[in-house]
Amino acid sequence: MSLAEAVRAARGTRDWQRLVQALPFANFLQLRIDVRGELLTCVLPAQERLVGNRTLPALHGGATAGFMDCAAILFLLWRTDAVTLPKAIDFNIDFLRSAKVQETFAEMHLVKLGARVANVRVLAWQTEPEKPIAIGHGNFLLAP
Amino acid sequence: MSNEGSTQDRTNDTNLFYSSPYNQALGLRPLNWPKDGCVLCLPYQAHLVGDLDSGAVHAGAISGLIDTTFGQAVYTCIPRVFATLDLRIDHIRRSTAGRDLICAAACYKHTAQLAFVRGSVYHDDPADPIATAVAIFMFTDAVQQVFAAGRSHEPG
Repeated sequence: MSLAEAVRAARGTRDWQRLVQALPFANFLQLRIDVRGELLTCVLPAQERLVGNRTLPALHGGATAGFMDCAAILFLLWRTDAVTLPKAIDFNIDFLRSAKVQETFAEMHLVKLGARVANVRVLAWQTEPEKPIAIGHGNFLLAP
Repeated sequence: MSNEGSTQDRTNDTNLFYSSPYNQALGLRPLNWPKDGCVLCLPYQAHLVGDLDSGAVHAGAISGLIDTTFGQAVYTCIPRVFATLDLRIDHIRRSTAGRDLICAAACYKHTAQLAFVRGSVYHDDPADPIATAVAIFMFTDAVQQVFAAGRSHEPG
């Protein structure tokens, strides 16, 4: 199935998990999509293989970053009419707290939706949104 | 966050490197450790693809390659315990399906509490980057170190 077909199928059935199946890296992270009304949350299940430091133990910063990047793209496919994959132009992450090996959530905020570029803010948290583990923002190219 | 141990022994570094489950999951391989940096390879793998139509590796997988290489670059320069404070990545161009990615990073400055790293990702030609990045790492043993040194080297 091509990405465009997967996106259309997800929009038609409102089964947003189909988007994850169309993104091998999101599948690799075992990412889940939870849509409640007007809010989409991405969920990264706790997994031993995402650990960066066994001693603490803590999630790998690269796993957190990859999750947030995926979450922003899935959010844009959900929130906009794009049928081509939004492409990250740049992505910035501030790591705020050590991420424990537990379920991690990402919530997105569409700062600006332009004709060609979307600016998205991503907040990643574990126990409560008020204690984010990381905050990111990126520009995404909407059309090739 | 990326954290490493505090030994100067390169064999132990390699062990530390392989002891990170996420580095293993990504299949990262060390290529070279220049004196102020690190060069790692992310082999092309179908499950890391972000775009089925082009076969290009997902930006998020590239983030993992960068975070690890940058952390190793810090550790090569100064073997202390640290965590990533921030990471900025510019995705210059799409990677080519089927080709491995290389990340080369240099720790160009470190102070009592911070280490500054820059680097890029490419297939085989550093002059044709797929991504460029900068990051700041914070030493998490800094409080004791600063106390022992009796002064801080922080900028500003």
